[in-house]
Amino acid sequence: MSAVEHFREAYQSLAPSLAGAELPWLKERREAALDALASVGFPGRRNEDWKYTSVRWLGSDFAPTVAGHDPGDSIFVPRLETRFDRLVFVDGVFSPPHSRVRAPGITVRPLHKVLAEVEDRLDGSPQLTGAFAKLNTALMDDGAYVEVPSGTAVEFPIELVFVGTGRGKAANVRNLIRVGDGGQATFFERYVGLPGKHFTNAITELSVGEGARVELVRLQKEALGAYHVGQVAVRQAANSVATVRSISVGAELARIEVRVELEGEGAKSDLTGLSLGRRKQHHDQHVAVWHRVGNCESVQTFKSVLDDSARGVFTGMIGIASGADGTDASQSGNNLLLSDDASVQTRPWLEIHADDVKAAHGATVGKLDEDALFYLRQRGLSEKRARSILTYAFANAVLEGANAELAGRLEAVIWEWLGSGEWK
Amino acid sequence: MTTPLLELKNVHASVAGTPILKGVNLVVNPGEVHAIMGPNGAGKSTLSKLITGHPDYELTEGQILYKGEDIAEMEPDERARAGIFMSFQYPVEIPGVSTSFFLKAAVNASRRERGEPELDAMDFLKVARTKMKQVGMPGDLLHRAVNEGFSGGEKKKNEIFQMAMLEPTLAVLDETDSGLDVDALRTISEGVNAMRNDERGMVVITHYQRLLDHIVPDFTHILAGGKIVKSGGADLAKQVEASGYEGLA
Repeated sequence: MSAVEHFREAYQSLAPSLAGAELPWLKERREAALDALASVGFPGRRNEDWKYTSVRWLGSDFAPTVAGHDPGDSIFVPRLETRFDRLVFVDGVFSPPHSRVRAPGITVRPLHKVLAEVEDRLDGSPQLTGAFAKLNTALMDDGAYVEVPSGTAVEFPIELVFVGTGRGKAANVRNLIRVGDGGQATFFERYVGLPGKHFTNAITELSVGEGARVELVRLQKEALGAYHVGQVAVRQAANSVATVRSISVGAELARIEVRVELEGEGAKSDLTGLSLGRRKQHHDQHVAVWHRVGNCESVQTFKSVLDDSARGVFTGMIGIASGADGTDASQSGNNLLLSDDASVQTRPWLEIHADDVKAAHGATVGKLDEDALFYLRQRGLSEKRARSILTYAFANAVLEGANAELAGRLEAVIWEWLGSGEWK
Repeated sequence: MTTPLLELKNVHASVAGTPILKGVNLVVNPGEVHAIMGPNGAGKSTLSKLITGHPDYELTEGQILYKGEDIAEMEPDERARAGIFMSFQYPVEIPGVSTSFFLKAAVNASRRERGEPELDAMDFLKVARTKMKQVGMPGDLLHRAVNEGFSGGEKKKNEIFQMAMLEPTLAVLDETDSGLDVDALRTISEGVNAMRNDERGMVVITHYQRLLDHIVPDFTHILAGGKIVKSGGADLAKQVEASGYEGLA
C-alpha cells in the first residue's frame, strides 16, 4: 500500500473520532486535502523542493493518533523542567496533567477545544500547499491555539511541548498562533521523544499583527529513530518583527520548513537555523521568504554542523514580488563538516521581480580551523575539548539575540550535542 | 647540577618535507632568559612550533628534552599542561568564544593536571582582574571573543595576560614585539619581566634588538640557516643592531 492510500484508509476509519468531526466545513476541508494529496502524491526526487530529501521512509507503518483512541497518559513522560506556561502533547494528543497556563490576558488552549471558532484561520497561510500540509489538514487532531490580544506583552516564553513516544505513531500537529497589533510574545516550541520510531508532521501557523514583536524558538530534539517534518508558516503585517530560530538536533530524518510572507511595509523577518547531525542523520532546512510589499527586511542565517556520515541540506529562497521596492534581503548558509563522510547541499534560490532591491547571499562549507585548534591546545585544552569549543563557537551564532530566558537552555542543547559537561 | 629546563640536542626539523632546522643545540636552565635572534627564514618560528608540538613541524633528528624528559611524542596540549607556553606571533581570533570562558577552561585544565582545585567563576575573575592590570589589558577584553577585533597591541597583551594566568615553567615568546608601538612594547615587557623568577625559563624569539632593551636576556643566540651560529650575552644583541646579521653569519 502506498503512503497516500495508507493515510486515506486511516482517515476513513478515524474520521468520526477526529477533532471537530461534527463541523461540516472541516470535514469538507479534510476530504479536499486528501483528494489534493492523492492527486499530487508525496514528493519524489524530481520535485525540485525535495531534490535532496527522500520520503521513501514514509511507507504505511505509521498510525495516525487521535485523542481518546490513544491513551497517551499511560505512557510515562518525564516531568518537564520548566517554569513557563506550557501546553504538552503526547504523540500529538493534549496532555492536561503536564500542562499549565497562568499568564493573564492571553488565550492558550489545545486546538481541539476551539476548532469551531477557527474556520477562517485554519489553513489561513498561503504557504501551506505541499503534500505534508495536505496530510496534516486531513488528519490533524490537536495542537496549540494561542491568541495574544493587541497591545499585550507576554512576559515569559510560552512553551509548546510535543513528546513522541516512539511507538510507531504519526502525530499530525497543528498550531495556530496569533499575536495582535503591537503585541509581544516569545514561543518555545519543542519536539522531544522517547526512543523508538514515530513520525511527527507538525505545522505552526503564526500570524503577526502590525508592529508586533514575536520570537518563535523551535527545537527539534526527537529521538534518533524519529521522522520529523515541520513547517512554520508566518504572515507578517506592517512594521512587525518576527524572529524564527530553528534548532534541529534529533531524528533520523528531519525536514524543517520556514516560510514567511511579508505582507505589510516595514516588516522585518529574522530567521536563523542550526542543524546538528551525526551518524546517518539527514537534516533538511528549507527556508522561503516572500517580500510581497516594499521596504521590508529579511535576514536568513543558517548553519549546520555535520559529523560521521550525516547529511545536510539547506535551501534558502528569497522571493521579491513585483513592486516590492526598497526590499533588503540577505541570506547566509554556513556549514561545518567534522568528518570526511559528512556532506551538505546548500542552495540559494532567488526570485526577484522588482528592481530597486538589495538581495545578498553567501554560502560556505568548511572544517575546523587548524590554527585555532592548535592555539587552544597550546593553552592546555585537549584536542577533543578544543574541537568542542570551536564547534560551539561556530554554532552558537544561532543564539545571538535570543530571549534571555531561553538562551541558556539552547546553549545547553549545543553543549550536550557536543558530548561535553560544559553547560553544567 | 640542576636538570636543564629545556635541552635541544642536534635538533633537525622539517615542515612539509623541507628541512628548516639543521642541528640546533640549546640549553635553558631554570631562571634563565635566552634570546634567539636571526634574519627572516632562519628557522626561529620553526623552533617555537617544534618546542610546543605543532603537528605540521616534524623532528627528523636529535632530541628535545623538557626537565630531562624527551617530549617528542607528547601532544601539544600535554606539553602545555606540563608548563610549556608559547606567546603566538599571530594570535588566532576565535569568534564566538569569550576570552574569560576560554581562559578559565585553560587555567583549570592545567590546575587539574597539577592536582590543584579548579577555580570557580568568582575566583577566576578575581585573579584575572589583577593580572590584566599587570599587563595593561583593558578589562572589557575579558568578555569579548578571543582576540576578535583586538588591535595588534591588544592581541599581544592578551598573550602575555594568558601567560600570567597560566604561570608556565617554560615560556616561548615568538616575535612578541612585532606590530607593537613603543608604549605597548614597554607595558608588555614589564609584564614579562614581572614573571621572571628563579624557576621559570624563557626563550625570547625576535628579529629586532629593541625588545631586548626591555627584556634583557641572560644569553643571546643567533640563528641562521637552521643553526645557532653564535652565542653570547646581552651585548651580542647590540652587535647585531650595529652590524646586522650578515656580519655575524
